[in-house]
Amino acid sequence: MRKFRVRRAGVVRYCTLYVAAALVLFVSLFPFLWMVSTSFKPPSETFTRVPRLIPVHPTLENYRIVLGETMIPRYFLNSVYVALLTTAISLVVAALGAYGFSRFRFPGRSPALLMILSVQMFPSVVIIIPLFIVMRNLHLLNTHYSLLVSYTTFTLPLCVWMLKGFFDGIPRELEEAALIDGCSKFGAFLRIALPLSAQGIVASAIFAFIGAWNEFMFAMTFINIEELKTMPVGLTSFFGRFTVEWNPLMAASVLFTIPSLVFFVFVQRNLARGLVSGAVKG
Amino acid sequence: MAGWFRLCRLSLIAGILVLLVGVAAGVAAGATTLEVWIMETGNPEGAKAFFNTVNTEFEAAHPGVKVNLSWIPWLGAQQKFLTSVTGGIAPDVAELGTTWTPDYAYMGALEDLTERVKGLGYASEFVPALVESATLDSKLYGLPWYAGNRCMIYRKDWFEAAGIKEFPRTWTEFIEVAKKLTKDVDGDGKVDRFGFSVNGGSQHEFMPLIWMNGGEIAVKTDKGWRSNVDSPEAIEAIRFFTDLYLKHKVSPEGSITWSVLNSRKAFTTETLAVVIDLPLLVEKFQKDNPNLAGKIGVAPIPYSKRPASFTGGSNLVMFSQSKKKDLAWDYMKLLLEPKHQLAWAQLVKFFPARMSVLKDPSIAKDPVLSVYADNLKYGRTYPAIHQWGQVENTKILLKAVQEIMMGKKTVEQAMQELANSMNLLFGYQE
Amino acid sequence: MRSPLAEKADSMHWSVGRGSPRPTLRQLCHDITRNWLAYAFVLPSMAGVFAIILVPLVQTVAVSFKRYYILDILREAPPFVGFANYLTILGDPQFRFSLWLTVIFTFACVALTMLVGLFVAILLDQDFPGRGIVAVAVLVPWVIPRIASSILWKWIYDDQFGILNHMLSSIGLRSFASFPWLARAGPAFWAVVVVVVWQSFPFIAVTLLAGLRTIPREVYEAAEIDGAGFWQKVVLISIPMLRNLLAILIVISTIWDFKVFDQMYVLTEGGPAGSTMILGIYTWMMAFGRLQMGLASALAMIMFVLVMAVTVLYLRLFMREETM
Repeated sequence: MRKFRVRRAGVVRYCTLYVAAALVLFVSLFPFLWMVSTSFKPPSETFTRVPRLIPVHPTLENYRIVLGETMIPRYFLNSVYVALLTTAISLVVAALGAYGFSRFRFPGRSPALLMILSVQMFPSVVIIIPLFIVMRNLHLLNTHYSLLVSYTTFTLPLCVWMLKGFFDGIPRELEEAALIDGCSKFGAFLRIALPLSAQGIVASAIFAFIGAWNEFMFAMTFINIEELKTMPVGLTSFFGRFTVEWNPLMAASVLFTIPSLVFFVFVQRNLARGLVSGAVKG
Repeated sequence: MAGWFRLCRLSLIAGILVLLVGVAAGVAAGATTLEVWIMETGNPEGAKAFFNTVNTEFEAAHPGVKVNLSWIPWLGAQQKFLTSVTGGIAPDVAELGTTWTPDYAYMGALEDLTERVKGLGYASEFVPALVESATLDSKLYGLPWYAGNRCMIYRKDWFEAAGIKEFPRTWTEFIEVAKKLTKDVDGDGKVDRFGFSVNGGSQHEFMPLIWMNGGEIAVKTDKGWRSNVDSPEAIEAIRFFTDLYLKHKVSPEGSITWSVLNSRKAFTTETLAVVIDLPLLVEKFQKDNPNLAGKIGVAPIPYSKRPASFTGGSNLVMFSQSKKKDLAWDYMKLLLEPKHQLAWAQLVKFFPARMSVLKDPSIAKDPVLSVYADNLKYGRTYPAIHQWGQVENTKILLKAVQEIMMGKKTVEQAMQELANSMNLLFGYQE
Repeated sequence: MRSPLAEKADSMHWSVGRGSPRPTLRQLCHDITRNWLAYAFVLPSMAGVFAIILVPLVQTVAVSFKRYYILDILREAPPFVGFANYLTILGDPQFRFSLWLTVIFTFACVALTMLVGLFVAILLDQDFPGRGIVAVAVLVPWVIPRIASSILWKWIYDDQFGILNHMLSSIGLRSFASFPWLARAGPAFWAVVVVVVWQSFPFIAVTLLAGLRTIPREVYEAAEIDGAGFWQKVVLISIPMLRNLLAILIVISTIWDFKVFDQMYVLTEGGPAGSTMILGIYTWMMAFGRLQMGLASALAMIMFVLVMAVTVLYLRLFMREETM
């Protein structure tokens, strides 16, 4: 972790680091801060001639509306459910696939790899109608399965490719050794390859989670029932035909953003460590 | 190999299971459900309360029937409707924007309501533009539900301060007034208050000018619809609009791509004297900037030859895939009852489609709403043909005006090219 | 550049040589049974991907050869028109304009995203107090609901009240006081590039950081003993060792950025006057603007072939031979 360790307590070095960190912080957070600020503003302060980051009369009214008067809490839970399950399924399936592609040479391997990637190459506006009909024929419309299935499908290509990259980076000698010690090939995958690519799995998990968490078009097309809608679709209830309710929209967006950050921290802390310690124990 | 077989078997079993569950659910439900799709309003709570009342009333009058209401976001709604209709799963009743109605009527997705509407007894009362929007080959495919039109919302106090007694009635007068209101208030050498915003991103603001100048956007010929935007009247109308930006400079530099969202922001922050907008904005401006209270006036848009305004809104439609047409019609009729018309109109801040309901004191006596309501009779709508959606969606209208405003093309060139592109979409050939 | 050991491992345990150049059915069965473990690993992801997407993809191909005006399909089966849709698209000047614009757009987005992503990944790989906060903050652009963040950026770019113009003019650049970012072709284009880069760099940074963490520390220490400086280590060790990962990320970013739609639609709608109409917007206009699914599908197929060609070329050039 600490590869570029600072040997001499170089002041210059730290300064550079902090200037860079400050720059990155500013760029990443600025629009978000604007969002948070708007979520605490009354409508009368939303648009002012001179943009003001700190509200003059901060209010919790927008949060009260979002939490108390709308279905947003329900949408929120639906999103958590769909995103977590998508992540879990994608990870298991992608890890297996990536390992297969990384460690075995078999006929049809390269075309299969390219085909998996090709799923990403079609603009979704073109496949939405045929996909809708597939979902209809499978009787999956208006169920969360439609989302789980389609999200997993669209998350897999990247997860497979990314994890394959990580598996490729692990020296095969390690697994060879395990095989000689009497481990099965599947055992070698579980005990050696998986823990060593923990970082890649964390990255894939975050990717899958956020992909499912943020998806709008499929969710809007496949689901009509209020009780089943997810957050991104729920946000549009603040869009009228010609108007937008900015303040509650931003409050809902803040509530939408925080959990993914919490998820990230959790995954970073626990998943990576869990995988690594599992390897040691196993 | 074995894996494949297992997978096939598994998916077969899963498929049968899903089917069984589906059948069971259908049987268990027993009751007839009426699928209704209504568009989001931006006021989710109020809209839900309104429909709870309506649905309770409907279900009480129709025992054994359950109304299943879905809220459809405006964002991407076209996609959702098309996908569902193509996939064979359309609702029984739905709200459709006026400019979308011809698309689905042409598609054959909508039930012909001509006879049913005739039997209503108040068919002659509807806002004419809404009827026009839902009529295809002299058949009516939509039941007019609510209407909205645009007027000019302006700063009374600034008008008074500039010594302008009356709101301009003609374009020439308007140019003078807009010039007077455009100025540099803080004296830093840059204009910071504009008379008007020439929004290159909002067609509802510039297309009606063609009607006002005595022109037509498109005309029906024996060879089909032909674009008329290259007519002298249309060219003159668009020149008036773009000259406000190019020649008279009464509009912010960035307004080439502005939509109403931008001009609203400018009006709220007191940098713009006049906007063209819907009635609901009058209240919203004062809510968003309390300083504006009592300083806002409303007036019809000035015209050159005849008054006109774009009147949009929504129709209620019945999909021909529906198997419960009589029930669906009962539901539509219920929504058209005066009390519900009025309550819904107040909630979404548009106007009831029935002109008789417009006489309600809450509208006729209101200083703002009455101005708009008076103007509904001059309301026009775009050609009710299925290609119109394409004209709007491909943004060729905006492109023409933006090219003029950017100085890339003259008005004549841009309008000639626009006419050609429109004719291409109409499938019109000389 | 394969290690002799890996080569040996390949031949011993892991792979089966291809049979005769023209495999017979028997040969194929033989291959499958001999490789059953490999197929067992790969099957779930292949099945997962293709069970759902295969039918839509095949249909897209089929529709691209039909005159498929959505409003006509309830009345009559869409007629077969051969390559007419392809010819229409290829002959449309708007397509050629959009294609070049999209190539530049994609290149700019991918290059900038990779640079920023790599920069942030390297920063986060350092050890300094407060690193954790930066690591979380960096994710914010990615997790903010996309609907909200594109609107937020539109506010930021607003010519009259945008914070960007406000900041620029308050540091003395008076000419930016009401600069219309989105009303001019060039600035509008780059404004969207910035938003796309902003939204996609966190993913690249997180992934590259994960990659950096898998590089054994000993490698760096050895380099330090040889007197390598900070940037030398980055260029000579980190980047070469992340080569595969970088290649994957560049490929996938190219695929994504080639079909960008949301951000451009919210910020410019392809304007002013069609000057930012990239292929993503053009496809949407064909599909749900003009409802010509035949044309839209043909366009999608053309885009598919282009992206596929670039991908294959890229993988051939940059990936180590044995991984592809």
